[in-house]
Amino acid sequence: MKGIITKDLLALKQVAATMSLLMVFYIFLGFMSMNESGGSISYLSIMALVINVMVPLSCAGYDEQCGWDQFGASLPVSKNNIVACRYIVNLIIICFTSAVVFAGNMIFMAFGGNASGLEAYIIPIVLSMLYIALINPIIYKFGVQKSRILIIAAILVPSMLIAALGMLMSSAPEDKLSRLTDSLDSLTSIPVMPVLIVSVVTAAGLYVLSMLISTRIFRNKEL
Amino acid sequence: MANAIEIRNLVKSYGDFTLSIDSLDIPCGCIMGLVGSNGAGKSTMIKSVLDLIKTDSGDISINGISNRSEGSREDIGVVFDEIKFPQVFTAEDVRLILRGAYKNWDDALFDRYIAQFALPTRKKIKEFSRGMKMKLSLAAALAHHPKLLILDEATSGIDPVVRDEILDIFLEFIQDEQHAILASSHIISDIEKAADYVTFINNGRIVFCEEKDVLMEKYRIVKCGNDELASVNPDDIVGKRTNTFGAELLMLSDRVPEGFMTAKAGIEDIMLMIIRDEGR
Repeated sequence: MKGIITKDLLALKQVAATMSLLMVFYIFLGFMSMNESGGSISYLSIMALVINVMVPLSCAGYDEQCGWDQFGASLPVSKNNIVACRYIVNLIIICFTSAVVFAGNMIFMAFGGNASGLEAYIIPIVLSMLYIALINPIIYKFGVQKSRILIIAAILVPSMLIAALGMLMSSAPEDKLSRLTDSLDSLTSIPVMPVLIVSVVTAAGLYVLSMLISTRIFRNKEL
Repeated sequence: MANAIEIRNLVKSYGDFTLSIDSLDIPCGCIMGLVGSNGAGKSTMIKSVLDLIKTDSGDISINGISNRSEGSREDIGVVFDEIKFPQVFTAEDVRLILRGAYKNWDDALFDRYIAQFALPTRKKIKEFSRGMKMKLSLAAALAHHPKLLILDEATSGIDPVVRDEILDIFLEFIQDEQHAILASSHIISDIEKAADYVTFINNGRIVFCEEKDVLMEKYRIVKCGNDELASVNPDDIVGKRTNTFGAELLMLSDRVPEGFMTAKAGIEDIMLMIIRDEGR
């Protein structure tokens, strides 16, 4: 397994410089936007999310380009472990970007910036895991090239739903709107910690389920 | 002599194509050349041996262990027709990956092959020539002390000098009687030069699996005019190539009628004439 993980990390080394630069840029941007009330670098979390979801695509893209799967399956590593390695690498990157977000926030706070809540660290992790859980089986089934449209749809559909909800809200009659905003307000009264815990556990469960599905797909794949 | 590979009752179907091998043994201490036209089933057979595809039925064992077990792959070195590492990798990266994959990985041996093949360790694979890529694949396949080498069109597209160099490595590898090589190739001269056994696959079936030297003696090319052709028993003709002056016949050596002009049949002659004959 060590060899397979090494392979993915070596492939990611190629894009590491770009990713690191992006994250440094966003920390820098946070400093530039600092004002008397502090400012924040919460969008660093969004950048971390983008990087996390790019990783499975990059890894699979490199593999597909050179036909690695065929060679990988001829190594003394089971197909189950080959798939598990990809999910482990994805987790390593999530940990890495989370550490950068944490470090960025610490530096930012040390210079007088506003502290980000725990959700600023946890939400990108949860969303990344959910997204990876969704796209990895698609990639294993159809390959990176063929699954591009499905992957784009996976991002666009939820975004469009949120946008549609926003439009509905703005066009809703005032009494209905006020009822909706009231019910949304009531959501904010729910304690954050249990919600975060449930989110993490759910994401972890779906991540494992996704790995099992990908394993099944890869085991039955003609290489 | 023990067998490096044993195939029994293998069937793999892809719609209109079926690979069907009742029995095939590849003994230790030999190079088995796998020949046949495009789409004949060579790669399907190799993929079946490596468990890269799901076969419909059959059993394959490698050095006595089922090919489905991870352990069986510890002793196999594989070279495909293309290098299967990302083009942005270097030979050093290949070492790091395979060191973590094989229990018996030998850095010193890898270094020896890298030096022998004069390969740069820091240059990206995409900057390598095709010959260099294949040499790197070979170094990667050999540096964990495999007992079995599986080569799928590994010498195609390589110039004769590099091919010769690679064939020498195969011959050196096979000096150990525990070792074996299964090599598919379109370059029949490579098979004639290096192989001990030849397996000819056509339309998903093994036409023959013979010791090369026996095979070369078994068949003869008979050149005859139209009059002489009429006197040959059609049942004795294995393959036929006709021209305006007469025909070239592929016949079993002991079936050639007396007085006919004969020439030695090369593997390519045998292969081509059988394919033509089956196509008719």
